[in-house]
Formats: sequence, C-alpha cells, structure tokens
Amino acid sequence: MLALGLKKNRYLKSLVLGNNNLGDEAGSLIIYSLLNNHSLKSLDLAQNKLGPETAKALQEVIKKNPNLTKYNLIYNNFDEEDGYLLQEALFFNAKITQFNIAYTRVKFNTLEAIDGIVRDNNHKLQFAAVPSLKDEVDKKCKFVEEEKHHMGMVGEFEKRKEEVRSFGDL
Amino acid sequence: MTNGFSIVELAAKTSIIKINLANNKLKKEAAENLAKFIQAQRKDNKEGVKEAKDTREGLELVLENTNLGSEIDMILESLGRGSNIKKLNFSRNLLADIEITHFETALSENKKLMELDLSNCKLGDIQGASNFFES
Repeated sequence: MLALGLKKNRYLKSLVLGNNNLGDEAGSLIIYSLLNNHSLKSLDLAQNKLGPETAKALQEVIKKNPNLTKYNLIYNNFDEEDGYLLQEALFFNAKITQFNIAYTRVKFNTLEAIDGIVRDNNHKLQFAAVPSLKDEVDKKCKFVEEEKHHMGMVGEFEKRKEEVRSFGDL
Repeated sequence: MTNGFSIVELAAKTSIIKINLANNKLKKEAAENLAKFIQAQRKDNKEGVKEAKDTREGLELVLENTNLGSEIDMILESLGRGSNIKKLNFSRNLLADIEITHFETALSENKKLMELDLSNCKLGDIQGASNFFES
C-alpha cells in the first residue's frame, strides 16, 4: 500500500523509512514504485535488510529517475556484486549528489569508486550552479592573453627602437 | 498526555507553523483531536469543496515517540482528505503488528505533504508486512 501510494504521489520530496524491517522484497517494491515518481528527491532506507532484489530495482531507478538525487542505504545486506551493479548504474546519472552504502558487504574499493563518482557529480553541479563563474574564468584568460600579446608588441617596438637607435649611431 | 488536551483549539492560531509533540504518551482521544486538527487545516474553495489552506506556510507536525499505533490510520486518512501539513515526523512509534489502510490515500491524494518520516517504526515485521504486499 505504501508502494502503491508512492507510485501515485507527485508531491513528496523526502521519505525516511530507515531502521525498519522491510526486507529485500518490500524494499524492491518501494524502489520500483519510484520509477516514474518525479517529485521525490531524498530517500532513506538505511538498516532495512535490503539485498540483491533491491539492488536490481535501484539499478533501474538510478538510471531512469534523474530527480531522486540523495540515497541513504547504509547498514543493509548488499554484497560486492550488488555494489558493482550500483556503481555501474551511477555512471548513467550525473545528478546524484549523495549515495551511501557503507556498512554493507560491499568492498572498500567499490565504495571508494562510488564515492568518487558522487564527488565528481557534486563538483560538476557546483560549477554549473554558478554560470557566471565559467564566464569570469574565460574573461580572465582572455585578458591575460591580450596582456601577453600587448607586452609582446611593446617588446617588439622597444627592440625596433633600439635597432633604429643603433643604426643612427652608425 | 491527558485526555483533557485539545489540540483543535490550536487550529485557530494561524501563526503556528510547527507543533512538536514528541516523547509524549498520546491517548486515542488526542489522536482523534489531531486528526480533527489536520482536517481543520482546510478551507472551502470556490466550488464549496474542502481543500488545503494556501494562505500560510505549511505546518510541521512532529509525533515522534508518541505511543501511537493504529491511530496513525486515522491521521493518514485525514491527510488523504487534504490538509496543510508540510512535514510529518512519525518516527519511533511501533507499527509492527498494525495494518495501515490509508497509506495509499494519504500519499496519492494529499498535495501538500513534502516530508514523511516513518523511521524506527518496525514496519515490515510479520503482520506489518501486509502494508507492503496487499493492494
């Protein structure tokens, strides 16, 4: 019923279901119900005995739902294979800014790789959030180039002057 | 919390934007009053149909660890009918063996609720699992 409600909901932005006993089947049901949900931005399913079924559902939702950007999935039963599936899915969604699957059976290397992807996403989004920043950097670069060019011109002029002077001396 | 407690009176005070009743032992009567209060957060629109008040910022309702069980269904039903509740924190209430029938209506009909916290409620335990597998 909760899953059915979520499927129809268009307004909820944050759902916290952490530290319950949902299990893998109920967890995957809830995740699948979010496939076409465009409002939810943050989901907390920490400590819910979630496993491979939920990981498969998550893989699909991560790829197809760009609005859900924060996931808290710590203290669940995901293993290394699930971690790898999720890591792979994260490459398809550059909008995810928080994805935590620590304290599961996922190995440290995979956790680190996932953390790297999410950190990259955050950097890109921060840069994109300040449109004037890129313009400012471009402007500064152009100014430096012009200065260099100008200095070069001045240098050339001084050199020519010296040449003329030395010719006059002769 | 005593039976004499009447939260409905608070509905008149429109400046309230957050009600925190965490860590109180609410009785059934208080839950009924709460449900009434949630419904009181509505007004008649031009067509005479009740809808959520838009005149002020949504209300935040904290019911963490308030000893509520089946009463949540009553509250969810009220939410389903529309209200101005923006955030509802229902964490640390034991819902393990309670069948909640109004999850669906609360989530599909309500247009104001933005944050719902149902953490630490033992959802999914034995009978509570029916909340996920029955349609």
